[in-house]
Amino acid sequence: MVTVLQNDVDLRQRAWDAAASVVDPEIPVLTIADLGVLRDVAVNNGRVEVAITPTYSGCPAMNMITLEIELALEREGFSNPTIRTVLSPAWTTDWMSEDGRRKL
Amino acid sequence: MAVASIEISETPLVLYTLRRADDALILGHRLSEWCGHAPMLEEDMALANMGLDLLGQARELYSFAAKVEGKGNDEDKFAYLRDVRQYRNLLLLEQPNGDFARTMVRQFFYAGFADLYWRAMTKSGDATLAAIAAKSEKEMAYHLRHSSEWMVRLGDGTEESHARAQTAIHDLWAFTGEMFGVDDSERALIDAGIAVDPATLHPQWLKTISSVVSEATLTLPKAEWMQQGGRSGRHSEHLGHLLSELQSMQRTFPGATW
Repeated sequence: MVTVLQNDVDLRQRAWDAAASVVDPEIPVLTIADLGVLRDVAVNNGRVEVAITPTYSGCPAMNMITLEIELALEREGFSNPTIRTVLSPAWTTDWMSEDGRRKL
Repeated sequence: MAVASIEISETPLVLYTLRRADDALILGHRLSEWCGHAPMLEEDMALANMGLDLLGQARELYSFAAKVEGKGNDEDKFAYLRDVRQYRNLLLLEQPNGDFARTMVRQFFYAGFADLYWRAMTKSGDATLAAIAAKSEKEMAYHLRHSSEWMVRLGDGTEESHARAQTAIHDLWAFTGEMFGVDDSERALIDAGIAVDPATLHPQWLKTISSVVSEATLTLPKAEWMQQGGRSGRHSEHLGHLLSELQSMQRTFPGATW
């Protein structure tokens, strides 16, 4: 049981790292983790579920970002990941990381 | 999608959500018509981006309506495959852009309302509507700030900009009452804590609008008669023309995808 849990933790870290490597197509110097667009990565029985949030309602980059996350996860060996969009709590610049602020 | 128009099961919550989605889509489309025509580059970008805010809100609301309805409709079907009488937006929002002053007055009247409305809706008993509200409220607060600044600039600007802004206020005023109307199907949602009663927002709306209009050296009409009909699908002739452009691709090539 402990091994299984440990595996999930490792898998989650690998999945997070893969998703977090995706960059904003409009500001490629920033990753979606820097921006705070990447909200959560969960692994259940090897299946990855990623939650992202738009910076504003009409953000046209969301489809692109979703596709990039799917590709990044597939490359890491995670098949058929689920990417869902969450709206709450709403994104503000407070969600940006220190690293993201420095890069900007 | 190869059908002329879709059937919709308009339960109170589906209808309520479609009304707000239509508001956002139609006003967003109107703003997009400014793309490449605004008086300066910065404003061109601003109007297109605000149009995009509204399009994003519309998409979230249509998707939610589709989920609640559960009949296989989706955001695209709602937008492209409903005829003019099936649209439920406020008459104010389908009014043509006219000159820049008219676009700004329309934006100002609506943003003044939507800012209050979405903030109140963050407390909705429905989690999805509350989440959409939290996102929309920030955007509409900005739309209000932007249009308020223009109201003052136009009203307190030149003789011509003042006259144009005053004419737009006069012409659009009769469409503002519809924002605060409630019918029986909405009353039930208000009682259930899912929707807010827009009438409770009216005093604050009027205060905000009056204060900006006065700063802009403009005046509000005394007329109390208000036009309505959009919420039940009775539209001005302008909406049909707008839809013929918005829906032209699906009407010409039904079911086209790429």
